[in-house]
Formats: sequence, structure tokens, C-alpha cells
Amino acid sequence: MIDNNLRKKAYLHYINNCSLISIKGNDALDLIDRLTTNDVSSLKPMEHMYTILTSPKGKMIDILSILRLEDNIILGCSKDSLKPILEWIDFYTFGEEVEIIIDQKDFESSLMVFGDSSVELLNNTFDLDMSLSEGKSMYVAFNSNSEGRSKILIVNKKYYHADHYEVYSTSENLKQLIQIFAKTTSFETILINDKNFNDYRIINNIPASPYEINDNYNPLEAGLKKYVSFNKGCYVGQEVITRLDSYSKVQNQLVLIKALKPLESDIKVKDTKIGSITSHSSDQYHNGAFKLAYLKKKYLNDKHDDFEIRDTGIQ
Amino acid sequence: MLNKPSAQRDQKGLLTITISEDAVKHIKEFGKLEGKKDTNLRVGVKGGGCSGLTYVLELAESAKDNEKVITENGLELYVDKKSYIFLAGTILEYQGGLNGKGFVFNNPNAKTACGCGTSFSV
Repeated sequence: MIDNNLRKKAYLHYINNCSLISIKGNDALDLIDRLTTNDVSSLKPMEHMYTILTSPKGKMIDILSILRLEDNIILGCSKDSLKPILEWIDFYTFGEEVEIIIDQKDFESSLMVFGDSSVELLNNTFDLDMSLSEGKSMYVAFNSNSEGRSKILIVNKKYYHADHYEVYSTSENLKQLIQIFAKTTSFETILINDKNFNDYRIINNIPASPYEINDNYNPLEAGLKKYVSFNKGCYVGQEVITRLDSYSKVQNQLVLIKALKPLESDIKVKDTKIGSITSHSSDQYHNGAFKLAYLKKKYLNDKHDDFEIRDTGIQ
Repeated sequence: MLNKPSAQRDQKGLLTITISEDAVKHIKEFGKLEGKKDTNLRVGVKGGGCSGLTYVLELAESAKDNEKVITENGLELYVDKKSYIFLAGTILEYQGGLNGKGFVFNNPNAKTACGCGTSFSV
């Protein structure tokens, strides 16, 4: 029996708020490239990239996870955004050869594996010697209770500054996999529920849809500049985003704050609104004192009576 | 001096796409340069470009099944039905010379256009 304190830890989070759809067709990658901020057209098969769907005014519709496979793309987005995203893609699809499969069954869900021991846990479970670099993915054989031998996908992702792996498979396979992980004696696997995961992302100043990622803000305000390519050429919203960056015209910045007093949603100095709170941590973090907020950049260096700025998210 | 074209309507009174004589002349010349005997033009729209929708121009010999055919100044224009919604009433002109922009879409549906004029929003 291994002492719990000595066992290596890995964290698991079943991503409930995620839709995975398949996009097929010769023009699929080119269409996504023309509509989003990152250089999606450079993806090779089995490579992954985050990119942001933006409006002509450069505001965010959602962040998309794009995994290119041999014959199709697996697009991941928040569940709430799926309908507007599909409508957006449909509006901008003219004669392109693109087929969207919403209820694809192979990779209907995603399990996040993170923490220092995540690679060892995956290698140990699947008998691998895996060292996937960021943005790479691989198929792994899996003996499923319900489906026999099936293929699952492991993707090395880095969202914002958080390294993690995601396992794409059916919901049934992922439930079984969580049980397998839980039984492993070499590792302590900790299942993170939605509430705790939300706290984790807030403490790490990680934006999420629809709280921080929505059409009130642009990717530069959300600290998502690393998912914007400035040399890929035109995409919807490119002119605005490039101008904001080139002329340093970004107005707001997503920040992690610690409230020193109860705060209203609108953050004010005297009677002037200087920002908006977008996410609140739960009570276990200093009675919910940690929050994410968009603040006007010109107030970032000021000392405030009601709150402290803990992280400006500027990379 | 060529006449300045204005937006025209089809037999049903619906706005159509108009192409200037000068633009037709240049399209025919481009067709000859590419060795094509009978040159016509496919016009359309696709998603992308800074403002959301980008104009598409392509030399073509015949229409595809789902395309509307507009005959104008001796040239056939082929346009798919979805693009037509965004292009109805457009006048396609040609601006030559050192400061000219080449083919220019004067599109009444475009509310805004990007700096280079190749994309627009509605």
C-alpha cells in the first residue's frame, strides 16, 4: 500500500460544458482559417490549435479548439456557443465543400488530465512511452466495456498558460477511463468537479466562455493574443484587431483581483465605471474574494481601496 | 467615353448585377491572355476578409447547375444563389490607370468595407 502523501497526483476534469463537432470537406480548414484569428491553415494532421471566432468588429464569439485529423476536423467549443457558432459558419459558407456533423459519436466528450504526473498516468494506463509536444495528438487503443476495442484520442493542449492533456472519446469510454485511473495504485487521481475547476481557472486568471469570452470584448483584452496570428493575412475582424494592437488602443485588460470589501458587478472609482467583474471564485478562496474582472488599462497601476490586482494576465 | 452604368432590374423588376462596358472589355482581354476562346465571368462572395465577406471573381466558360446567369454587355455573369442575395444591385466597374484599383464592386448592400476594399459587411 502506498502512502497517499507519497503518491503522485494527477487531476481529472470531465468537461461538461464542451461540444465537439466534426467538420469534413476539402474547404473545411480554409473556411475556419478565414473566419478565425489563428493560423489554422498551417495545421497538419493530428495537430491541435486554439483559435478565436471574431466578429467584423473584432469582438469574440468564442474560442475554438481545432484538432485536425486525417479526414476531418474536430472543433470544440462551449455548449452554449454551439448554436451561434453553427449559424455563424453557415452564414459565411457559400459554395465551399464543407459538411458539419454535430452528433458525431467517436469523440463526443473530453476528459482533461493535468498536473505534474499527467504524462506518467497516461503512459502507465495505456502502456505508452508518450512524450507528445504541445499541439500534438495521438490515437490510443482502448478496451472498452461497452464497445470492445476502440480508439481514443490524446491531445496535448496548452490553454492560456495551463498545460494539460485531453482525452477525446465516447462518454461511456471516458467514464470507464476515470474508473481505471481511480484504481491505479501508483497515482492519486483527483476528480475535479465543475465548481472546483471554475475556481482553478479563476485563480489562474484563465478566461472562459461566456463570462470573459463574449462579444463585449476582443481577444487582446482577454489576454488571448497568443491565439492571434498577425501574419496570416485576412480573417473576419483582422483589420480592427491589428489596428488595436499596432496603435496600442486596447482599452481593457482581464485581471485577477482580490476583493477587500464586497464589490458590485460594476467597479467604480467615485462615480466613474472603471471595470466589470465577470467571474467569482467560490467561498473556499477567502470567502469568494478572488474574481476576474475587465479593468480599464489606465487604472491598472493605481492603488484601489476596494480590491488588489493580483495578476494582470499580460504576457 | 464609356457611359457610367447604373443599377438595373431584371424582367421581374428585381435588382440584378450590372457590369460596365469597360469591365467587360478587360475581362475579355484577360480571357484572351489565358487562351480562352469564350470567356465569361463567375462572381460571388465567400466568408472571410477583414469585414466578413470577400468578393470572388473568376473567369469561367459555363454556368454550374445552381447558378443564376445574367447577360450584360455581351458577357455572361454566373452567380450562385446565396451570393446573389449579397450582390443584387451591384455595379461591377473597372478602374484602370496608375491609381486605379482594377475591378471595383459598387455594392449597395455593403454597409462597411475594409481598407483595401476587397471585403465588406452587410
